[in-house]
Amino acid sequence: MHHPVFWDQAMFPRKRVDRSHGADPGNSLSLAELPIGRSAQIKSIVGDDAISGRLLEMGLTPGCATRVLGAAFSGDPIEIEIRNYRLTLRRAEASRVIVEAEQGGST
Amino acid sequence: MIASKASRPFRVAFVGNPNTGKSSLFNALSGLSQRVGNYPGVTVEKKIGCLKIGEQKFELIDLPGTYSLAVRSADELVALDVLLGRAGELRPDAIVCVVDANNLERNLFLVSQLLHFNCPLLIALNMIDIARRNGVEIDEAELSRRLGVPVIPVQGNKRLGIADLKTQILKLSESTKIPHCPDVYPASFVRASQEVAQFLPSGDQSPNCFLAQRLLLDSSGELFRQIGGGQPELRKEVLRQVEKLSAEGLALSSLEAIGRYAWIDQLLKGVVRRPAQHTTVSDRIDSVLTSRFWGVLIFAIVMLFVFQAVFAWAQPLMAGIEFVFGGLRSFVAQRIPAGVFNSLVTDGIISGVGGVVVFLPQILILFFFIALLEDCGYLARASYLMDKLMCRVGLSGKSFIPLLSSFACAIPGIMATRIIENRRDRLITILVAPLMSCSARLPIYTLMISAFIPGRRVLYGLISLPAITLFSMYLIGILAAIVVALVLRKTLLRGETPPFVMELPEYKIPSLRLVFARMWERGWAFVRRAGTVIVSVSILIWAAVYFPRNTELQTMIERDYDSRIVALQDNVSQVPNIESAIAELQQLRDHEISSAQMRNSFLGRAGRLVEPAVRPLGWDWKIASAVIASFPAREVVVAALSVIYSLGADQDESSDSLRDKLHQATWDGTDRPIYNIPVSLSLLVFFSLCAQCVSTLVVMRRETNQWRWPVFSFVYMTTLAYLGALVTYQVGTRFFS
Repeated sequence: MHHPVFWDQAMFPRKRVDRSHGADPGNSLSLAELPIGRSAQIKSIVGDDAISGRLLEMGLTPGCATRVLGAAFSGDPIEIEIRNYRLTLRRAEASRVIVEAEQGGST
Repeated sequence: MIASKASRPFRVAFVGNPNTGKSSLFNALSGLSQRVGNYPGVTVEKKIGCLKIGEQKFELIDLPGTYSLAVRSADELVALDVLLGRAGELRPDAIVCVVDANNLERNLFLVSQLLHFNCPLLIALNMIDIARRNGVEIDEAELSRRLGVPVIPVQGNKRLGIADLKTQILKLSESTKIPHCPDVYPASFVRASQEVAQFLPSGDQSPNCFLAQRLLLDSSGELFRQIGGGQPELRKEVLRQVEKLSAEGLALSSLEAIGRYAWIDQLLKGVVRRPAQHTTVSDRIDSVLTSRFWGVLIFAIVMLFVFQAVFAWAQPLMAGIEFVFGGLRSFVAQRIPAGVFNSLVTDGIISGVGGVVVFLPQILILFFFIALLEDCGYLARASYLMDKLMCRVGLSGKSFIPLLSSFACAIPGIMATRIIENRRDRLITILVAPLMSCSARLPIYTLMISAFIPGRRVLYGLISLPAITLFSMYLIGILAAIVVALVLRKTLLRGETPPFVMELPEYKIPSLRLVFARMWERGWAFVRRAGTVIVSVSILIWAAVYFPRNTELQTMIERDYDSRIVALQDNVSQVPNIESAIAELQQLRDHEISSAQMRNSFLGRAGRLVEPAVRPLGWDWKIASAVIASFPAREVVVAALSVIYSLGADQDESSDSLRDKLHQATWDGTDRPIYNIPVSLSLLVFFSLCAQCVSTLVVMRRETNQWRWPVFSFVYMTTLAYLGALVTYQVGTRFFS
């Protein structure tokens, strides 16, 4: 399959959207920073690529509750609970998920 | 749909998320009547099964497990192509979606996409027993009513509910009920997709504009690259609509997921009940198996066990197979008159077939364990635990098991890369897997090390030199694999790091039926699709060793020995054991003939031809011939050396006479010995890095569906092996002299 046409990035202007508006800056952090055992609510997913697309498909949509269950022995990847199932993702990917930690969440 | 009933089978596509037990349901329905092939140009396996219910014939198409129909690679396009009837595929008449009852929310994401296809749909609610065990209650009747499609609870692993499923599939073939397509998109998006659909060629007009919607949502442009080549009008229209929608404030990246999950949340309200804060059995198992200390310890034990099984348990079976084929060989050899035909059957065909079958024990044992670990849910945890380590090499945790098993044999290792769904990661794993020192390298390692490496102990007597040498050979392979993987990632197989976002499925008791079915499937696939090529290459190599025959040479040697035998018989009184002395001479004669013929054969000539090229490695033409002869399988090099040194092919690596011969071998016309420490080290390094295994290359072809990857592997590994041997010899000569 050889296509003369190229679908380059420039054709899809990527707007930089400030996604932090509205969130309480004290409570808003990425899923990678959320301590093990803490629950949080998903605010947004940063980016527009294969990783953000996969995260959304797997059910990490804004408004959804999640919890960090653990991490592999080297601290990466992490294991979370989302929509009543278990999902593992790398810290690099989890840092794309902006969450709002629940106050005093369960430990 | 109804009119064509009698003329052709009713086509049913099987779709589902990974880990939903789709294969076990598919196997339960189609039994052994399955055909396995490849979709053109991709590495996805095409599995088609047959089913007959009453008079109605069904064709079942098993699509690769997927979470979504979004296309990010050529492999992911396959499911969409089949469902839309694109690219030479026939549209299915109905879709069966296998859904994990325990995990309805996420599974319904795919279901909501399938509702766009204007195609009768059926939901098989699998693993209903585990859901019930976890206290999940599902109102199936209400779910079916709300979705407008039949929802059938089943237990694929125990084959419960299969009869019901068959009845419903039959009903599906008799009705034309099209389920309602859910409203998940805003009106402006639907309008835009209708406008884009105008630009799709009529054959691509997807129901409810699904393809057009995918084009609008696909920010990477991968789908367009795959399907839209040479359609500038279409591209312009997609870009125009995307810009318009973005200007209206629509976030296209999250539009679909937010819309579909909102629809799912609404759909499931009052249909599913879960106990509040409930620790399931699976949770408790997981808290141990993924914990930092016990998790890693148990992982190491499990991996050691699997490796040991593939490495050691297969040995007696392989020895048995070799024994049977050896017996068959001598049985046939005695019953066919000596000559070309005899040699073709025994050395070409029987040895070739034996060379295929001998891999079966390792393949079957490895796939037994992989299927077992996968089905019980541990395989995903293994990838989770190993991800960080493999990440440093630019791969993911999923590459660990294929690479580990390659230490026993690269063939099952390469076949095991099917668990890696990312194409690039899978290709890199396939390409570096043969660098792991497999068990077939042990004969040459053992021979060279025991013959030439002094058994001295170093480091205060802690470790012996032979052990260090053997360990270094394994290390060289690993280091080369790391470098090659990193280089491939930066050059040929560039691209973004694929996401490692993976479900950790519920633990469950594995279904032995499924485990054996998968083991059988892999073994058979190897024999059928790789076996034929391997046997053909073995016959070609046999011909290169056998031809051309020099009868003059043979008569000369025979005449020489005959006169010696006559001389012996004349002096009967002086020779104490005349019969054994004659037998010994006859054996010597046969070995010398085969040795002389080999020198004269195409192979021997090739060896002499390449001698100038291998001189810098410290090799003579005899070593070169043996190395070329071991192209089909590297372990053959020991037998080839034995033939070249007139010992007969039945010598093995621990034979004293072969070791003595190697020590005595000299450069033609001088008394300078050929083999010394640098030469044996250069041979060792060569064999640790080379691609001398036809079976591996053929399996690589089968798994990548292209010849270019095995060719690439052979070229890069041979280059690496040559350079490695060159450096070893040149440095070694200076160091030891």
